[in-house]
Amino acid sequence: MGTGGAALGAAFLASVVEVVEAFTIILAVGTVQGWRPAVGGSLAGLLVLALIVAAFGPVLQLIPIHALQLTVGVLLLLFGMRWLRKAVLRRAGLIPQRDELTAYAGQAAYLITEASRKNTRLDWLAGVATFKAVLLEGLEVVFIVIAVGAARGLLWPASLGALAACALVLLVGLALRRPLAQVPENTLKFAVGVMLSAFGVFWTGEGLGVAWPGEDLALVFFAAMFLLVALAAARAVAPLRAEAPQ
Amino acid sequence: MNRLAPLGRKLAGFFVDDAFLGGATVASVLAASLCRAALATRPLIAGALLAGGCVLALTLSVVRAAARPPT
Repeated sequence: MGTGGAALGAAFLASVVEVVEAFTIILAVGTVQGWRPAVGGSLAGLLVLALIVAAFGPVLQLIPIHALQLTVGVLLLLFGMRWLRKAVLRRAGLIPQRDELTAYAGQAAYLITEASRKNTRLDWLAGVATFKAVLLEGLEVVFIVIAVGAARGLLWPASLGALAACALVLLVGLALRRPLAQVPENTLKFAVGVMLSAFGVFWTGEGLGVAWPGEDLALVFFAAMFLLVALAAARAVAPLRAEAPQ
Repeated sequence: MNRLAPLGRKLAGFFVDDAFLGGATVASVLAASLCRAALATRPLIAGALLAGGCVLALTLSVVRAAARPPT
C-alpha cells in the first residue's frame, strides 16, 4: 500500500467519524422539527463549504511543494495529535466515550429548550443547528482531505475516500433512520488520530528536507510508533483515574 | 451573532485544544528545523528529533491531563 492508499484510507476513516456526527444532528433536527429545516440548513452548510473550497482550492497550486508539505504537516500534526490525545483520554476513561444516542437525545432536548426559553421560531434554530453541523464537520473533512492529499498530489484518492465515507454513512443512515450508534466511533477516532499524526510527522519531515529511510514505508513506521505510544499511554494513566478521590 | 460565537470558538480550537500539547508540538518542529539548519548533512537527526519530540509531547500531555483532579 503506497501513500495513495494510506491517504484514501485516512480520509475515509476520518470522514466516516465526521459524517456520523453531522448525521446525528441532522437526524435529531429532522425528527424533532421536520425535514425541511434539517435539509435546508444542511444544503446551506454544503454551499458555504463548496464556496470555501472553490475560493481556496486554486491557491494550493501556487504554493511551492516543500512549503506546502511543511505547512500542511505542522497543521496536521497539531490536528492529529489533538485528536489522538482525546482518543487516549477516552480509552483511559478520563473523558466520556462519544455516544451517538446520547448526542442525538442532547440535540433534540437542546432544540426544544432553546425554542421555549428564547421564544424563537424552532425552524430557524433547527436550520442553524444543521448548518453549523454540516459546516464544522465538513470543514474538518475538507482539511483532512487537503492535509493528507495536497502535499504530494494525492487529492484525488483522498477526496475519493471522503466521498465514499459520505455516501456510505448517508445510505446506511437513510436506511436505518436512527443514530448510527453501532459504528465503533471511538475506535475509529483512535485509528484516525494515529494516521493523521503519522502523516503529520511524515509531511513535516519532508517539508524540512528529510529523506525518510524506506521512503513511503516510513509512514507505516510512524503509524506503528504512535499506535504503540498511545496504547501504552492509555494503559499507564487509566489507574490514575481509578485511584483519584471522587 | 451570538449564535455564531460557538462557531468561532470551535474554529479557534480546530488545531489546538490543549495549550501544552500545541506548544510542545510547535517546539518539536522548531527544534527539528534548527537541527536541520545546523546539521545540513545529517537530516535524519532532525527527523528523529521531530518524531521523538511529538511522541514526548503527546505522552506528557496525556500524563498532565490524568494528573489533574477530576472536575
